[in-house]
Amino acid sequence: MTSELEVRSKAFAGEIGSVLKDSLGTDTQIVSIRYGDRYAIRPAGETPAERRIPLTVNGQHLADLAVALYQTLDHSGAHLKTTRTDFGVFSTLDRTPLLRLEYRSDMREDPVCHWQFHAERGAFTHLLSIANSSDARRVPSPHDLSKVHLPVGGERFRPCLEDFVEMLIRDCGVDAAPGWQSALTAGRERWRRRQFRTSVRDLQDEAAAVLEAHGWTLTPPTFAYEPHLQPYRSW
Amino acid sequence: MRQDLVQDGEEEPMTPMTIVVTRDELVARRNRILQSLGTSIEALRERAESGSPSAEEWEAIADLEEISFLLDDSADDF
Repeated sequence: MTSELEVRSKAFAGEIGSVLKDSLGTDTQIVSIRYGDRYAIRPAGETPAERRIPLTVNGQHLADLAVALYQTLDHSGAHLKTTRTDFGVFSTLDRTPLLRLEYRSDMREDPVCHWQFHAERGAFTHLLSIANSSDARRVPSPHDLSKVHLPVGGERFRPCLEDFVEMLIRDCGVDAAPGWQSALTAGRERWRRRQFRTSVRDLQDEAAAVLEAHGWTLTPPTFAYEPHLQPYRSW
Repeated sequence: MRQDLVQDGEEEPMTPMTIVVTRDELVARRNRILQSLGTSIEALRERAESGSPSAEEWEAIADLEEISFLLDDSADDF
């Protein structure tokens, strides 16, 4: 029997497929892999290589996009939550990453959402090498800039897939589908509205205070409310 | 990999599919991946943290991340 969660996850998978098709022009079959109440959403394919989406520049296949989103129930047990995402661009030359955007809601040490850039920069390596000499525990890999995690907004304010794809099109010159901009704008608005609603649920006192300051009259609920602060404290 | 395919609606290219997997399938898939690389999950994690994984290892990591998430059996990446 199809559960409500399965229907919601499948609908979300459809949204991901539409974003990719309407922006990059790739007609990608998206699947939602289900085990219990946990879902992995990604392009279809037996192997990770087969699941990557070709990125072309002026028709030349130069890189591949990897997309995976993981969903399960949130802390309330009532809502399906995306708890992890992995977006990455892999070179066709050596099939290793050029850059990655990772999100883990349960991250322990690294930023909950971060970029990792697989590149070289002598001056940066110089800084990290000296830091490594001073404290090798904090800076264990001074010659690998991809070990630097660039924090971006935490759980609620992190970039979305639409941001990632727009960066590829605008700044990397990746070929795009006609009308890509409006597709990404619409998808981004949908995603940020969802994040906003979640934030309101997290911080109801804050939301109520803002609304009252703008003339709304609100009646507080009769049940106890505890703000969910973790997303606003983790780096 | 045997998968119980659950697909609603018509088979259009963009129609998303739900694929229901079992614990045995996920565990077997993980064992196959590690066997093909000739390594353990701990050794691969160590290599990912301290070195530069090869193309094959990056692909294995993507698969292992998915499996460990679905099984919910690792607090760390894969």
